[in-house]
Amino acid sequence: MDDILFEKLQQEGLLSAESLQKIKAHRSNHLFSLHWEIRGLLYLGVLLLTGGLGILVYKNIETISHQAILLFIAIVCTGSFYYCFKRSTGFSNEKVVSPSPLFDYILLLGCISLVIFIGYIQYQYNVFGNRLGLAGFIPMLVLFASAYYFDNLAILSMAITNLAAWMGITVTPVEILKANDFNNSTIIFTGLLLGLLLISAAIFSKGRGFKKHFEFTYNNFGMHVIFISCLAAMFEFERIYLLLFVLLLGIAWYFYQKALKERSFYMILVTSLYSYIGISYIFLRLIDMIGGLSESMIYMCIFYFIGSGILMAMFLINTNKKLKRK
Amino acid sequence: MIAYNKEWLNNLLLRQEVDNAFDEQCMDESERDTLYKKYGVGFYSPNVFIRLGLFFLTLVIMLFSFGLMIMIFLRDADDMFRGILIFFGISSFVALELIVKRKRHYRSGVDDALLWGGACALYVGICGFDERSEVFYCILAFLVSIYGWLRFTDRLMAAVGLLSLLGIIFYTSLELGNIAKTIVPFIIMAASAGVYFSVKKLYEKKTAIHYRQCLEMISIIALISFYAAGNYYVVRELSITMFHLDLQPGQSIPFGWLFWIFTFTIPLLYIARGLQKKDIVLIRVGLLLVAAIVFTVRYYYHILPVELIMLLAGILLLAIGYALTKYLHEPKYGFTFQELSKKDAAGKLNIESLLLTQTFANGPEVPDTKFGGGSFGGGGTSADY
Repeated sequence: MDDILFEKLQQEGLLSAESLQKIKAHRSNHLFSLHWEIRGLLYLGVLLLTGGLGILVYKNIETISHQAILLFIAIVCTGSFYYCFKRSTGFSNEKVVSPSPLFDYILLLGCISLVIFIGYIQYQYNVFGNRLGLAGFIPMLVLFASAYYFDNLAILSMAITNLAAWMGITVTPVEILKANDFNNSTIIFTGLLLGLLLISAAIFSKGRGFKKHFEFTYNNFGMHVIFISCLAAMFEFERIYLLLFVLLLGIAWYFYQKALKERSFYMILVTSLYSYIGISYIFLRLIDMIGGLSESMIYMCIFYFIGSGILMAMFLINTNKKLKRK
Repeated sequence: MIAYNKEWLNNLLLRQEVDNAFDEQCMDESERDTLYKKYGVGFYSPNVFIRLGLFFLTLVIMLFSFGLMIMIFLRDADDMFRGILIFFGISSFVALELIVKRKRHYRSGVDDALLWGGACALYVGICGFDERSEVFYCILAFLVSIYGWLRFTDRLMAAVGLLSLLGIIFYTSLELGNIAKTIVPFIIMAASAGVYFSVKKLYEKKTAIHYRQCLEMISIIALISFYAAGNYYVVRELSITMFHLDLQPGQSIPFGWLFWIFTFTIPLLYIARGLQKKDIVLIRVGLLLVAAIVFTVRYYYHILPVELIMLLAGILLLAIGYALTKYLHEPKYGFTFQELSKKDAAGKLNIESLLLTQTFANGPEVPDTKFGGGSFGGGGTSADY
């Protein structure tokens, strides 16, 4: 398609002469953007550099050069943070527009090298003692602080993953001491707790107007974590699975309402698929209770999946309409 | 030839142009709205996430419908199984036609699932489970995918079509004798180049306007296969496994030097040509293939330990990226670092942040489980998102 199309539209009286002029002018000096290509280069650069440093440090742990490597990491880290502090406009409750894409990647470099550094000095010198929680806690704190101070979503996501890891580890050593069947449930409870925590953080961000745009990231992580934990709990705790199913439906209802309010197709999809898994599980339990593996039961299952699939598809189509109309 | 309503497809293209113009602030909202009204599109094309959900659900429905057929019809012989598969594939295609014609679905997830499910069932049904020649598999895949490509303008079908075509050429050359065997890399390269240039020509044709996305996909695959056929690693390892070439470690293949030249120069040529022609596909494929150069060299020559290469490459890339951002701060020679389309900028950043978390979550952790392990920890969790 080209200018001819717009000329035709103008002749039909659908486009003003002024707009046509603008379109032609815009096309004649059309710029070619290398934005995402250069971003890709920077991203790969940070990925390779930090990955290389991470391996280098642990491979050279017994040699003299490891101090030099440590020094190098420290220089990279302080250099990056120095640049960021110098360029940053400072903290604000609201969204802060990043000075440049370059800034984001240098911040990323600084944060990751700091995490490597802390991890390494813990590994080698045991600075934080045997309380492993602290060794995981400090990088997490640094990541959260950087995410809030410099207003960076990528760092926030990393901080949340670290939070999950931290909650995972501090639970794991305790879990080894307990009986084996308790093993999974500890993780499930942690997951439910983490999910609740993240959803509360999302509500807090939005409600209090404290970094409102962080809400999506918190909510997204929280949603997946709580759905997965709730489903895992349903599979794990045989006695109260119906109660947990009600909980699942409650969570689904919360996110469904939220999705309708925010017109989020993504949230609708995630909520429906997790709920579908839960509902199908309940159905299969029911089948198992009634008759086990007889032929008629297999037919029942097949009809259930065909029918429920059609119903779910219709539900999605209707919701799509509802969201579009608003 | 195309199953979808042609007029609507045309209007869809027009709307895209209008959207671009509106995005670049070359027209105002009232003009866009009148154009939208004049050039209506009656397709049912839901949001991309709903499409994903419908795709998944349609597959579930299809799978269990197939199960139902098996339950009802399959009693004893295995031959029936193939028959049911073929019947199921054809029924899927009929359902696809109906849903496109009657319900006006277009890229709704339902049509994608029916197309792919039907094609797979038909393919497996015809192939059966006996051993057949590779050429037969390739020809069949080619025919099925060409149908999906031409009738439903499916990009992935187009890609499968080209790959199976190359497969046909490759396996027929193998059967032609020793000379054909030695020059097979050049045959594939010639075929890829031929496809690439004809696709480029076709792209400008008005008759092929609805196939543009498919053609772009084909040109990407052709560029990659052209490189792969000349890549030293691919040629050497394929010669060893396919032609039982008995090579000692360190021993080179015939014309080894030539393939090394290809390995190094082709990606750089792509990038240079892409910059000259301002062709984003060439630039992106070229950048991607630079990684293939590094991998190939690294595979045969251990110049430096891998972590040092990563370190140096990282520094180099950061330096290049830094220099380019500074250099293209003001547009030069028609290139700019500025992001031109502001559409979906927030969405892109959200996706980017998830990508970053995904890749960095595992990176800086300590190799043993002392720090960061745990079944709920680090990489494990992030993989769910």
